[in-house]
Amino acid sequence: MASQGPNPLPPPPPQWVLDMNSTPGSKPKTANIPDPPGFSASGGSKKTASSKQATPRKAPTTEEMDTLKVKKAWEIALGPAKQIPMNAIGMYMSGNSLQIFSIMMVFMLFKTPIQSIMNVQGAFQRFETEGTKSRLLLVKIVYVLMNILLMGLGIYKVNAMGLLPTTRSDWLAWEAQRDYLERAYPALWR
Amino acid sequence: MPPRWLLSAATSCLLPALLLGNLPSASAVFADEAYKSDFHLSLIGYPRNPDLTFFQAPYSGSKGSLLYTVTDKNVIAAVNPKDGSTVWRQLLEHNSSSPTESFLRPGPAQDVVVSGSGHKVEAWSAADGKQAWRNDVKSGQVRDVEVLQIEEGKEGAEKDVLALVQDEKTSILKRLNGKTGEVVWESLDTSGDIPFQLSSSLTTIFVVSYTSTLIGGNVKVKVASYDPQTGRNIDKQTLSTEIDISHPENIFVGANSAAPVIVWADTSSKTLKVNVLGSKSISSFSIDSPTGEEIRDVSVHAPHQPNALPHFLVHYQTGKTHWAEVFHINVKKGKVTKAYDLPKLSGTGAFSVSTIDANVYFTRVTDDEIIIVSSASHGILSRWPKKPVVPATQRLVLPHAVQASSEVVAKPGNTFAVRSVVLYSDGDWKLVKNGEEDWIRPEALAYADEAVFVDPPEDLSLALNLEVEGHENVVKGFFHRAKRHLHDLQSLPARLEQLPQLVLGSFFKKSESILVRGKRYGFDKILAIATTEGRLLGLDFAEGGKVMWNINLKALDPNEQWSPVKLDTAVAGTITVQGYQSKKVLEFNATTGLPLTPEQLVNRVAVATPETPARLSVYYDFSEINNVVQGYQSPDGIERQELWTFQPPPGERIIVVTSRAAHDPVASIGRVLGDRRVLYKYLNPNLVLITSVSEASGKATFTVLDGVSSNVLHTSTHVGVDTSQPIPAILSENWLAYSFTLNTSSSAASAKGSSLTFTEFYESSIPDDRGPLGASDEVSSVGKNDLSLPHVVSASYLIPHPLSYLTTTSTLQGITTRSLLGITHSSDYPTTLYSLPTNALSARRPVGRDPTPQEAMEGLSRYAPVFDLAPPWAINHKREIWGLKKVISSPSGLESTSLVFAWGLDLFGTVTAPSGTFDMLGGGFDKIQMLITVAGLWAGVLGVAPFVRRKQINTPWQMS
Repeated sequence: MASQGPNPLPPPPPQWVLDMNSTPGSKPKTANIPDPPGFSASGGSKKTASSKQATPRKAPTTEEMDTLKVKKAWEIALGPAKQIPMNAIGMYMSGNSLQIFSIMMVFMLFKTPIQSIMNVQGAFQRFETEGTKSRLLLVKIVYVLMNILLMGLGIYKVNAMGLLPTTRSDWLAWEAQRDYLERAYPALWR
Repeated sequence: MPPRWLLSAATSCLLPALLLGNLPSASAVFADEAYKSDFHLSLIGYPRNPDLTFFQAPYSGSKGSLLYTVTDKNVIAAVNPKDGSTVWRQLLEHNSSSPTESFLRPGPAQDVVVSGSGHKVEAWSAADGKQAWRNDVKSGQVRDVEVLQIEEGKEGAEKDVLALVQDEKTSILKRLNGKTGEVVWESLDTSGDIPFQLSSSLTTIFVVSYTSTLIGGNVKVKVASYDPQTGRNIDKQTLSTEIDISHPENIFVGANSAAPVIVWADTSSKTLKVNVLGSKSISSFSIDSPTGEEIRDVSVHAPHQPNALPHFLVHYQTGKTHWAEVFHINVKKGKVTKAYDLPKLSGTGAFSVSTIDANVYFTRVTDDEIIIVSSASHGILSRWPKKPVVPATQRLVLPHAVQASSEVVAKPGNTFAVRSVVLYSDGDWKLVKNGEEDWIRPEALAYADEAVFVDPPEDLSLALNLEVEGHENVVKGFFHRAKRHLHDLQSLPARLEQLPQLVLGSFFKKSESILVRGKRYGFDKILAIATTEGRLLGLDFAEGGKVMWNINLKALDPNEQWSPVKLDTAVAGTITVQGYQSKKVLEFNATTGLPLTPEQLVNRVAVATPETPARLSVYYDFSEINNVVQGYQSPDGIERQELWTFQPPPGERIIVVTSRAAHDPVASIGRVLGDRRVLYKYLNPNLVLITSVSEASGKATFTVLDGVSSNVLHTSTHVGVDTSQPIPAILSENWLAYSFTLNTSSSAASAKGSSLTFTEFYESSIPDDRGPLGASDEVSSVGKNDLSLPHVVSASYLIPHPLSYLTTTSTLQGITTRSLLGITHSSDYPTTLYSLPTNALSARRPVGRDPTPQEAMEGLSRYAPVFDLAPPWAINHKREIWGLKKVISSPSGLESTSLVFAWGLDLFGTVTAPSGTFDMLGGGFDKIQMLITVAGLWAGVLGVAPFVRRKQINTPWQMS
């Protein structure tokens, strides 16, 4: 398509698109069929209109809106911390052996926080306004810290599984045998 | 690739668990690999005497016959004359310290053979070698056994057995019932003569005995005759032989014929004297040696059947020629006449006698032909030229026939067929059938004393080429390499031709031996074996112990006994042999068995020079006479500067000095504990283990020295040790093992049986600690660090069988855990070769409590004082292997697998994988099934592809 060159105007939409977009008229002209009992053509609009009239709500100010957004952002920021106990229990149950279940669990423990940290701007975009910008910075830092905490749980688990080179035996292969400067040999018959 | 630490960590956690799970099966032999991954040569030794080797039908009505013999290893054997395999073997009673006489005769009934040896006269079922009966001589030694050849009672009745027994001053003649072995009668002779041989004619039993005269040490021969019915002594006469015979071995008694004779030659081998037993007259014949050569040997061949013609043959052998004379006996007149001469032929010959009914035939085996003559006339009945089997250039000295036994068959049309079993001077026992060699039994190997695995010679050309390419500049190196590859292309067509065969072969050669298949992976080693007789043989290990060459070391240097010898292989493809007496060293090419030329010797030395010489090289040897171990250095290779002397505790005698093998690689310098900490191994290449015993107090001391400084690192002393039994010891890596038998009569022994002790050395008792030396990379035994004693842990076990020899498996890099190879000690019964996992023997097994989870992870189980030698650890599985004495091991090209060779009377070679064959596809791996699976998956992919494609096209269209 791109090879056809620049196209200044899009082609007119096909008929079915137009049909779909235009809602049918409230009352077809040609129809002689009466409406079913209880149907009123303007019923829906009437109702909304009445509720609006019943409680006329004052629109929140931007400050209030910002406070609400920040509150909501805090909730999201502390989300990972709430996962920690659940994950801890899950890991305790899965044991320290190298099995598909525990390996997947550990994988998820690393994947989720890293993904979240990478996506920290996206996660708080909806709360981002002129007023909340400065306040959201702290929230983001807390969010990152919480994810790191979750990842720390993963590291603890990996260590418990014996996959971290933290002990002497892990470095044994790099340790050399002592070199004996003098050598003793059994003699042939002499 | 995953990071290395991940792998190592994973293995450190997983490996113990895996090992624990696989322990019993790890060193076991799988049923489908048994007999394919090992070979066994069932040997018997050299037949004692051509008269004691005979063909006999194993049961009445049998179409074929078996070959029976008794050997100087005191083994009686039934050999299948068709292929040379042993049908059965029995070991006769013998005294290992002094030579024992043993006899074998065709049985009184057709289905048994009768043997006599030591204190026993035994009858064995001829078909399967089961004992039919046994008669124990209470005291004394059996001197001869014969079957009584008298016709008495009804036809087909059992014939009886005669036994001649010497008991100090008396000689006893016994007649034993042929069916039950019970004594029918006994006749004692208390004259003090030494009984020598039995002989019986149809009417009389003769006992030939002798006394040594005081003057000149000559021998006086006496002949006593007995009545076969009652055992009454009829007569005893002395032959006037004093001046002739210097040694009883020079007398020949023709036994069990119509007219038994006694034949001897005088000391100067000028006259031959013959006496027909029972008569007093001695006939003399002059021996004419026309060329005036000295006669080396006179032997007599007489038929062994009472109904055969009374003819006999006398064989004369000089250094270069041999001939024979045939004599006839006139039974009625008791006169001996010379019938004819067999012409003089060059070389050494062997004669044998065989009978068909009454006719007697003599078979002559010479270097190049086989001739049959009848005893009646000198006409040659049949003659076969012998085909040379091995090209003469392969051998230094052509072997010649030493002794022969034959079976002659008369065929219709007055033709004859003969099969002879001939013992050759190179130790081969061959069946020659009408001039053609049928099979060979390499009986020289029954006398194996020392053995060593020799790597096949390396092809150094590639290494040299790579060296050149690495050192030249890039452009030159490139062209050199391009040229080399072009040169290699020349072999491409041949390779392509082989390819289909190679591919097909890898699928369909199911029955191929694992040893043959392993040739590509370094199983193709050469076994050099030195025998007690001073021969050196080369065997192809992968070809199931096929003899490649066989040389006589005494022919190369007659001044040396060449037994015992030390064998070594400093360079791949060569063997170094050192004799004990003259300390002379010979070197051989391992593939051809030929001595190395001076030029090759120079090359060898160039290759053998070690890369980095040690700061100080200390040699130590053990002097049995002085009862000390001495360490010395000799910078110039000749002069000897003593550095240290080790003397055993007072009253003790050093019996053996053990050191770590030259090839003893260690892959991991520490032992990883269950909590992933490390216990560092004490890895000193200079360790010396000295075993000393005190016979008087039943004490055995094991001392571990540092071979450079002579510091004693560890000593253990055991009391209540039976010092007459073998005390094997082995030192490897950071551990040592020894075994001994507890003396049951000693009060000091707390338990009865045999003991196996396993001791491990660590740098420190604390995990993660490298001991007093800390992190230093270099150790000097003579410096200030000389008091760094290792941490020693030791565990002793009671084992159900005594062990006579210990060694360890050996692999290329030492990654595979080592197994302890041990031979059960037994002089009379088949021996077993065990491969014991060292993990199971570990000295760190918790005592008196169950292992903690950490210890269990390491593979340690609770210590139990009794260590059962589990049958799966017997790597000779169902094979019945006799008299194993020693075992050696060598790495193969595969890290998992170690080559093992054990010898004694029999030879046994096998491959063993102590940690399982982790780098080899198992026998259960089905390549065809794998191909079918791959093809099936491929077909599936192709079949599903159109559907997937359609679905992929449809998906965008079904979006909304």
